[in-house]
Amino acid sequence: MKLSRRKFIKANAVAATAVAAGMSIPKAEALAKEGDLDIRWDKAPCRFCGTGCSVLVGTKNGRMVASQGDPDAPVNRGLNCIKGYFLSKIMYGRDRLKTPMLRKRNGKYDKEGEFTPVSWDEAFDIMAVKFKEAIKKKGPTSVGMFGSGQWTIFEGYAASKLIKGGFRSNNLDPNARHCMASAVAGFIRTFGSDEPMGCYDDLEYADGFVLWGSNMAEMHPILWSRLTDRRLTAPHVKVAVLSTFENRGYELADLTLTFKPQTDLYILNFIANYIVQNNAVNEDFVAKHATFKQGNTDIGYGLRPTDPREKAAKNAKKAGGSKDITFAEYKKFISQFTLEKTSKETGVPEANLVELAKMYADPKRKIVSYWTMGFNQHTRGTWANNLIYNIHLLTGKISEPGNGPFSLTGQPSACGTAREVGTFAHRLPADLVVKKEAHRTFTEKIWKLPKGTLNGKVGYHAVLQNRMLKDGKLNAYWVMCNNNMQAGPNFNDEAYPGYRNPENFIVVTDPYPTVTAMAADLMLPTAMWAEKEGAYGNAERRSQFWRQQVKPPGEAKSDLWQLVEFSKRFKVEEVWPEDLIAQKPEYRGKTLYDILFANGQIDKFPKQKVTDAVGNVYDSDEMDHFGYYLQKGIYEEYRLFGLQGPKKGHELGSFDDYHKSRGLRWPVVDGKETLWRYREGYDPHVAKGSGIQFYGNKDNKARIFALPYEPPAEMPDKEYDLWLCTGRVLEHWHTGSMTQRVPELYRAVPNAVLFMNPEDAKSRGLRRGMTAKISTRRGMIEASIETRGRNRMPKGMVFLPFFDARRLANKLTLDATCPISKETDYKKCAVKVERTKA
Amino acid sequence: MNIAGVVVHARPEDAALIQAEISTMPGAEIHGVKENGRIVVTVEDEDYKKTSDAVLNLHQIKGVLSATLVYQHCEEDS
Amino acid sequence: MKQANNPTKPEISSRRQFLASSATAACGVALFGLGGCVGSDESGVMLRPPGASKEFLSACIRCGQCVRACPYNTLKLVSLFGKGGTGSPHYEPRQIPCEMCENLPCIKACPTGALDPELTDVNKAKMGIAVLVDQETCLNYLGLRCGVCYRACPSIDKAITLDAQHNQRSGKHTLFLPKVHSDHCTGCGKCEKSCVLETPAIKVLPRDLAKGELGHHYRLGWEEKQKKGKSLIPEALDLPDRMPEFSPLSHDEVKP
Repeated sequence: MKLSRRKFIKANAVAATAVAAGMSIPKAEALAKEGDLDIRWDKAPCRFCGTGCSVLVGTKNGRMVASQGDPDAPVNRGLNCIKGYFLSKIMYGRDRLKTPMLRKRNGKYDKEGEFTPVSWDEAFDIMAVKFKEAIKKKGPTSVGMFGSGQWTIFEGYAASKLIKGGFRSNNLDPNARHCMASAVAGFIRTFGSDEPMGCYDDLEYADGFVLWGSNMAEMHPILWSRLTDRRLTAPHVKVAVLSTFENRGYELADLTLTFKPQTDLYILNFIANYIVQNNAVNEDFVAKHATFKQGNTDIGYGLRPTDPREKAAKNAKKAGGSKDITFAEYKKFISQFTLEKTSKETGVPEANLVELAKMYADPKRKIVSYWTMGFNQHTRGTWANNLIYNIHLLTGKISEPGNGPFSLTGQPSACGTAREVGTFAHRLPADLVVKKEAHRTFTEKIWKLPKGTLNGKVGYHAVLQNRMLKDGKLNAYWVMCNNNMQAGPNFNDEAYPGYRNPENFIVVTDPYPTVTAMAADLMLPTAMWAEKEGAYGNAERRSQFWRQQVKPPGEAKSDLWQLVEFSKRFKVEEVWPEDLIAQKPEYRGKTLYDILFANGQIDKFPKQKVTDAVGNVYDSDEMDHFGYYLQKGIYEEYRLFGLQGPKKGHELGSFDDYHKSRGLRWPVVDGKETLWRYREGYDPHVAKGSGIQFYGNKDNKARIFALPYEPPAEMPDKEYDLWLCTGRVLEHWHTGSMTQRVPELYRAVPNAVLFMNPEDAKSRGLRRGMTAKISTRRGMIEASIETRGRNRMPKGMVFLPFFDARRLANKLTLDATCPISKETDYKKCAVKVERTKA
Repeated sequence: MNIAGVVVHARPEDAALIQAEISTMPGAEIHGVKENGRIVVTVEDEDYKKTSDAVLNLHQIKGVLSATLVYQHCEEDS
Repeated sequence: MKQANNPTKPEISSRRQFLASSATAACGVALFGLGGCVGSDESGVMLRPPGASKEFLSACIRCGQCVRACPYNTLKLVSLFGKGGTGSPHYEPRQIPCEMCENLPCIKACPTGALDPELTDVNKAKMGIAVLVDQETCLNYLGLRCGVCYRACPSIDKAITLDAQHNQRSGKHTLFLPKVHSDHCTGCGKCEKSCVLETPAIKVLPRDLAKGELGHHYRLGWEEKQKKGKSLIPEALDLPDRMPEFSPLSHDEVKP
């Protein structure tokens, strides 16, 4: 192998030298070209955002050496954004973790010790001791896991089984909680079923696009490129962008609305009111397909119950409650959202508000609404989601080509793993929830568990996990495939203390020594992306599979391997009470591995060669280790939830079909994908002659919610006199643990800077480029001031990206959440910016 | 592994002698000769330093007018 | 390896010695300078601090004050054997671009006025101009969503804009083509610095090298119209088109 590489490089040298000498040496040229021929190409979805672009991965001699956009992929047609362009470099950062590292002193585990390389055996030994100790002392709720929307589907499923089925703890939550939990809660509340009805094809059918708190130009670059193309090639198409500051989307927009933080709730209700006042309601649609509800108000901010804001909130404990109302009552409710009042409260000119309302009200204009973190990371995020559905339902603009509300996801498998597999503290696979006994019973049946194994009480969600760690109620904790110490809110008060609490044992699995890994007691090295076989589900319900392309470095093992292998360390008697075991005496003496994974279902598919259509053979490290096709077994068991589960409309295709295809959009029924859900003809579950059925709800109808404006948890005051909004930049993915290790991307945007209005800077004695002290009630960081560039801030507002590990934006943020979705509001808190004393 | 591609320019009348000279150098290999006296040579060695020495030594050959480094590849052997 | 020293022809040997040592230098650049940016220094093309005029070199006394005043170490002195005025200040954007300090410390530090003290607004500096020198490798021209240069530009949307064009190949995406506008580009070089390619596709060049010049006789009709707010000539007669009573073009109603 080495010889052939030498030959190839020599051929390159000869070819290049010959060109310089002005002569032709055809043999070398041919050989040099042939070098590209022995690159093996295979498909995989991009590692980064929820768009789900497909790439071709080029490997040679066991290393990924090249990549390209897949020219035939329906999502991206061969294109990538700049992060996707550098995919081949993300796995090869110099500081990859290659062996487990345990904090030790004098040869023994010590919370205050130094990270020391240990074997997998030693790592799992101490982990098992700590997990067993916690369960024995305080029961199943003292163990937990923080997972990921970047996990593969298989990994999410294995985690859910191990934590919920094995340890009987519902303290499993994904980082997707920070990302689209409000979208989930909104979908469930309005439609009784999660995830969008439409798909990306809407981009080519719509006559108008409205972006609500989504900087799609930077965060979903390839979709933005499609949206722009629609705008360019169909001149009647109109684009409206709403944001609290001018972002890159404003360049293309025909209509822009820069509103005061939180007042999007006014705009949403105003539009509904405008539609009603101007007789633009699709009466027939509403009568047939919607009912009305009044949601509980004064619901608090998801802060600790001791916080005065929570104590003062009347319905903090019944945040999700609602009662039925009539259409007339709803109309009366929204009549308070007049044009004058809305313009005054939001700071948006009346003309712009009317123009936006008209886009929705015009029955001839097909409209797609897109949103991302502006809606979701919002203390009334669930409401914002409900309110946008109201508008689409009132006008009947939903579930058909070019018409519909569409929540864009941030992560590559927020949909596929976090939502569909159900790795949230309240969920089970395929839209089932732990609260409902019927759902638990069904899950126990598929998982072959004794009745009552699953806990009916919702577990700790993301923010609550950090609080419970700090309070010493959650003691054995495993963090996988995320960087929550950097990404979670309120670092100083609510994140770091829990990790370093002497009562707790914290394990972090990651490819790199992230901020989170460094705060842990045990770091486990993992295989990333193409170093394992995987599957992701993107924002348009498209599930995409990939094969293992290369080996992980050193001792690194995939998250899936770690989850399944760790289960071998537990005898059922150590974690389950006797009455459960008594129901299934055959489980006596067995390990959790035997019960959860070697259960006759998951170990059903014998070891085989993994090949593609042209006969290339791929590694499968998990198959080699466990002796059967683990991914396939997991997937086919998981698939039963969609095929047989109590919630309809979640059918997935077969494992082998996904490996052959460029992804399929569920429900996959009779060998066909579904592009628009709930609409007769497009969706196989909609009865003939009914037109539309929102079958997530038993009455086949969607809910229109009456929900008012309520103020945010913290607003600028005299001392902390500015709004702080945090977020991303195109060049970096989330906390930068991968993209900051790509030298070119690092050079492109090396540091996080604070975007600020020039007048705000001037009045504080600050100039562009100066380092400023940025502080909130919770913490302080320093960063340099940027008054120009990609984001233009209105007066009174600053923006700080969170990718930079040296400038932790989340030392500043507040851990206030939407009380319904429990998703943090990273977009609003009060901040002070001052000159540093130099 | 270090591989360099070098264009050696010689007087056409000296080219044959110079070729013979180069072919005695360890790690050097001739891939083509043009009638105007340009010779395409690769030099390879495991040691980076030796490769660059070899390139310099090409200059020292009698009759060589110039030796220009065109292509250089180095990678750690793993 | 054969020692090529030939004792019978010492004069040639010494000439060879010279060739060998010059080759050492050349190869040194080739071997060790692969990551560096040698273009501007070698060709004598220099980017000068803000406020430097064409006659800069005759006014600059090589005192180095501007270099000392530069808070970002952008400015460097031309080295002893460098072309373009030993000891005079310049910068290489791919190494450290100009950060465009609002208070122009380099100009303030200049004791001779070689850096024009009349220049008080850094946005009006004309140090050079960014040129997208290679459309073949620029990722935006290939349809990828890069635009790193555009977003790195401190005068985004003015000095660099993205021209959106339909991507014929994919059929449903847009090409966002960076375009530099000379009236706003200062030549700071943030774009060249940030370009993610191995060799940047966008580079800052001195303005006299980079700019074309339109014929003085020709005006751009669409710009002239925009300037005036209406057509430059009085309203012309336009007769209506004969149409059937019912127009099938109902979709027009929603057009802006």
